[in-house]
Amino acid sequence: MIEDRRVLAGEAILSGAATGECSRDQAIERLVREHSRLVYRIAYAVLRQHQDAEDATQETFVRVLRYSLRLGHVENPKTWLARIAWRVAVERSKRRVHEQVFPLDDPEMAMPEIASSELGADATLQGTQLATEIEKLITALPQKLRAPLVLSTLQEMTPREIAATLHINEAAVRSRVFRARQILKEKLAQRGHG
Amino acid sequence: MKDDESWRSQDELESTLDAALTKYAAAEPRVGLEERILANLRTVETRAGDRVWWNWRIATALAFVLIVAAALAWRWGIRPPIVKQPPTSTSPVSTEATHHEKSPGTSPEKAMRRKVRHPIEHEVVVAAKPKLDVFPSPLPLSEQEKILAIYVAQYPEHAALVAEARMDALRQEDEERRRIISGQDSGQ
Repeated sequence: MIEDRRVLAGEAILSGAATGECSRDQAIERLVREHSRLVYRIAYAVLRQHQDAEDATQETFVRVLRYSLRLGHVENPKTWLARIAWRVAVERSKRRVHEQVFPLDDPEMAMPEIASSELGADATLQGTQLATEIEKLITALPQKLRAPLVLSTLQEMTPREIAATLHINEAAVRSRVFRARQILKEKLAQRGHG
Repeated sequence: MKDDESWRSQDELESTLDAALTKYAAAEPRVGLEERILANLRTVETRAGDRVWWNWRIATALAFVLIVAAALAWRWGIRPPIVKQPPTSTSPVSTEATHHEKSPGTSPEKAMRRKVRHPIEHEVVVAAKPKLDVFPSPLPLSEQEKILAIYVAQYPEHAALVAEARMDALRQEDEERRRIISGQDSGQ
C-alpha cells in the first residue's frame, strides 16, 4: 500500500518534471529520496558487498541524471530505476569476475549479527551457516533462474515489476522463481536442513 | 503417518528457505546514502557543466582559427586572370624560370620554395610581362586598322590595287635610298 503510494508519487514527480512544474533537479532529488534504498538493495542482491552496492547505487543515479531528458517519457519510474540498477549491478559483477577482484570480508556484514543477537550462540551459528550455504546455492543457480529469484527476495518488488525489470513476462517470473525454489529446497534437504 | 512427516518436513523446509531468502535480501545502506548520492550528482553535474563550457571554448577557438585560415586562403588565393594563361617558351618569365631550374646548384624544390616565399613579387612580375603565344602579339586592332579591315572586306580589288601601288612606291623609295647611299660611297 505504502509502496503503491510511493509509485504514484514518483509518477507525479516525473509528470511534473515533464510539464515543467518542478525542475529536473527536483525530480531527480525526489527520485533519490524515494528509491535509493530499493536501488541499493537490488545492487546488494547482485554484488553481495556493501561498498560495491553503494558504488553501483551512485552509478545508477548518475545514469539517471544522464538520461534525465527521457524522464518525461518514463511510465513507471520505479521499474525504470530498478532496470538501470539491475543492469549496473550485473555489469559491475561481470567486471569484477573479469578483473579477478577478490574482496576482503565485508566488515559490515558481521556487525548486525552480533549486535542483534537475541538468539543463542548455536542458533546464531546455525543461521550464519545456513545463510552462507544459501548464498552458495543461489550463486550456483543458472542465471535464468537466479535473476528472478534474487529480485523476488526484495519485498519492494512485485512479480510484475520483476518481469518489467528483466524484460520477461510475469508468468515466466513466477515459474522461474518456483523452479529456483524447488532446486534450493532439494539441495537444502540433501544437506540436512529443515 | 509418513505423509504427515513429509508434509511437516516440507513445511519446515519451506519456512527455512523463506527465512534464509529474507535474510539474503536484508541489506540496509549506511546512514546518509541519499545525501551522498545527491552530493555526488551535484559534483557530476558541475563537472559536466565545466566540460560543456570547455567544449564551447574549444569550439569557438577552432571556429575563429578556421575563419582566419579561410580569410587568409581567400586573400592569397586570388590571382589576376592573366596568370591562368599557359606559359610559352618565348615569354621572358618562363625562360627565366627554366634558367633558374636548369642552373647548377638550384634544385626544383628550392625554386618552388622561393616561389612560395614571395608570392606577391612573383605576381607583380607576371602581371607586368604578359606571356604571349604568338609573335607579334595579337593585340586588339586600332581604329584605323579596323577601318582598313572593313574597306578590304568591302572592296577587295580596290584594296589590292592600292596595295600594289603602295608596294611599288615603297620599292622606288628603297631603290632611291640605295642609289643615294651608293653615290655617297663612290664619292668618298
